[in-house]
Amino acid sequence: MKEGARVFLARLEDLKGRKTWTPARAALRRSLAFEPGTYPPAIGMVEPLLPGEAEGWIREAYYLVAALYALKDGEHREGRTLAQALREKAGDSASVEHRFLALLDADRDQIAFRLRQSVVLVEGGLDFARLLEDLLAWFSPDRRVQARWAREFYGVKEEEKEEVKA
Amino acid sequence: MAKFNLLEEPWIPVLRGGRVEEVGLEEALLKAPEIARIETPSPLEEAALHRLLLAVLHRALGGPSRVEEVGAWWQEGHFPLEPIREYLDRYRARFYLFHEEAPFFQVADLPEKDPLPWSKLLPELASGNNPTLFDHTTEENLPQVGYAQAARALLVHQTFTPGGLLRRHGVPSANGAPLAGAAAFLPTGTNLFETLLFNLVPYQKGEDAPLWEVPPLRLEDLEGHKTKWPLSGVTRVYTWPSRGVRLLDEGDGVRFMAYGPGVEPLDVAFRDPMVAYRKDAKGNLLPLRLSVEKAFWRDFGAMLPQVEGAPPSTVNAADELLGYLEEEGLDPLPTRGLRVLGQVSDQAKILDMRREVYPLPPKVLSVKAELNLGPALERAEALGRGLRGLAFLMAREVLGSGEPGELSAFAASLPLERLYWHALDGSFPALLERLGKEGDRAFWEEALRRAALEAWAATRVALGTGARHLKALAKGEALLLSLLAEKEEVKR
Repeated sequence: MKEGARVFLARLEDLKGRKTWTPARAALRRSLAFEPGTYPPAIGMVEPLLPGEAEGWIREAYYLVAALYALKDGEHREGRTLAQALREKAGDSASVEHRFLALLDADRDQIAFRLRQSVVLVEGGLDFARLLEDLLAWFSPDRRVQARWAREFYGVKEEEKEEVKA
Repeated sequence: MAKFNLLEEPWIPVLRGGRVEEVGLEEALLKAPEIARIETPSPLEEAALHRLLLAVLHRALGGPSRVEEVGAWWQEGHFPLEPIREYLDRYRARFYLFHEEAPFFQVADLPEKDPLPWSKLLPELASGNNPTLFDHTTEENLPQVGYAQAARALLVHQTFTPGGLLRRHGVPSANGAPLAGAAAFLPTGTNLFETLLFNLVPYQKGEDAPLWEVPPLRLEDLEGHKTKWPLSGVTRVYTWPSRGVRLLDEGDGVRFMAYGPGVEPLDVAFRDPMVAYRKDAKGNLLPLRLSVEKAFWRDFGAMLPQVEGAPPSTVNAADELLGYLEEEGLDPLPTRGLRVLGQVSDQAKILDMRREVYPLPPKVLSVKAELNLGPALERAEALGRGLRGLAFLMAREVLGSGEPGELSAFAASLPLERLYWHALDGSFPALLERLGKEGDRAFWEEALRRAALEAWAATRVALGTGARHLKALAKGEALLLSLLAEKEEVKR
C-alpha cells in the first residue's frame, strides 16, 4: 500500500512536469464539484495512473488526492501532514479546530467536501503520498488514522508518540 | 446433654495429603506438621480458626518467652505434645458446642424468646440489611446447618461482628468484635505447624486468660452490659465474647440461636498481635483496615516504624524467627507467605471480604527494605493521583464543561486508575521479593510505567473514536507522557 502511494505521487509529479499540466490542473480542480471519479475529463487523466485493482472507496481516494494535489498546484512537501498544517494554521482560532473535528468525523458522503475545505485553508505544501495512505485507511474500524491526526493536531511530539503506542 | 466436643469432633477444615478434610482441634494441634494448612473459602474463618489454635498454644505452652524457644520447637519438628494434651484434658469440658452450663463461646441461659436465624452469624449470608455478596439463602427458607459449620460461624461472629444496634437485654447497642474493623496479618509457612510457630508472639501467662479458663458467662453478666473487661491480653482478645449467643440444637443441626450482648470491652492500651497500626494526624494509633477500592499493599508503608506505625506483632515474630533460623543455618522455607485477612465494612454493613497473599521475604521490616519500600509506594500513589487528574481532563474534553458530578462520574467510568492499580497488584509481591536487592528500584519504575501504559491502552479502547474522543485522547496522551517523565526525574 505504502509503495502504491509513492508510485501514484510520482505519476502525479510526472503529470505536473508536462506541458499539459495547466488544463489538467483545471480539470482536476473542477472534478472536486463532483463525486470522486465521476467527472469525465478527470477520468481520462487519472485512470491511467491508478493501480489495477482500485475499486470503490480506494478508487475514490485516488481521485480525491489527485484533485487536492491539483488544488494545491502540486505543492508537495515531504512529511508535512494535513493535521500538522492545520495545527499551524489554527493558532487560537476555534473555527479551524471545529473544522478539523468535523473532518475527523466525516463519513463517506462528507469527506470530499471537508477535505477540500481544509486543504484550501492551509498554507504551503502537503505530503500527498501520506494523505493518500491515510485516506485509504480512513474507514478502518479502529480509526487509527483519525487518532493519529488528532495526536498531530493536539500536539504530541513525534519522538514521544512511539512510546505511548508501545 | 453435653454434645459435639470441638477438641474431638471434626470441624476444622484442613488440607492434608492433598485432600481437604475436617479435624478436631486436638488433632489440628498435635498433627500440625502433617497438615498443609487450614483450608477454607472464607478469609474470616481462616483468621478466626488460627486465633483459636494460637490461644490454646499460648496457654498450653505458657509462652513462648523468647524466639529461641520457638526455634527449638521448629528444630524438633513438632510442638511439645504432653503439655498440650494435659492442657486440653484439663479444659475438655469447656469445649462442648452444646452444654448445660458452659457451651463453648456461648451463654448457657440466654432465653430462647425471639431467636435469630443462625445465618446472622455470618456476614456473607444474606440477612437483615447485609448486601448479598455471594449467597442466595433468604430468611424465609433458612436451611438447617450442621454443627461443624455452626461452630465455625460462631467463631467468625465473635471475632468479626461489627458494632451497632442491638436492643436486647437492656443493651441498646454494642461494640464491634476485635477484628471488626481491622485486617489480620497471618504469616504462613509450608505447613500448619510452621504457620502457627510464625504467629506465636512473645507471651507471658500473667493477667491473661482465654474464655474457657474463666467461669462461664451468664445472662445476668451481660444484661445492661454489667460485665466489662479490659480489652487486653493475647488469648483473651483472641477469644473475646463479643456477643452472647446460644445455638439452639434441633437434634441434628441448628437453625436458630438465642442472641444478646456480649462483654463490653474497656479500651486500654493493648495492641492485637495480628493487627497493624498507623499513626493518624493527631498521633493516635489506628488499626489498618481493608478498604473497598484499594488492595491492602498500598497501605503497607503506613505501618513501617519510620512513619511511626507499628507492624503486627505476628509479622515481627515471624521476622525474628526467620532471622534466628538463618543464623542457625536452617532456612528451609521456599514458600513462606503473608496473608492479610479481613472484611471491608461501612459501619455495620459488610461490603466485602478479602484474602490477600504476599510473599514474606526475610527482614522485610529491616531498615534497608523499609527505606526502599516507602518511596516506592509514594511514587505509585503519585502516579495514581496523576492518572486521576488525567481521567478528569479526559472527562472535561469529552463532555465539555459539564456538571462536576457528571464529570467525576465520567472520569470514574474510565478504566485508567482501576487498571493501573490492578496491574500493580500483580507486581507488588515481586517488589517485596526483591526489596533491598540490586535493581529493586528500576524494577518498580518499570512496573509503574507498564501499569500506566497498559491502563492507558485500555482507556483508548474504552473511550470511543468520535472526533471529541480522539481530541481528548490526544491531549490526554500528552499529559500522560509528562507524568511518566516527571517520575523519571524523581528517580535521578
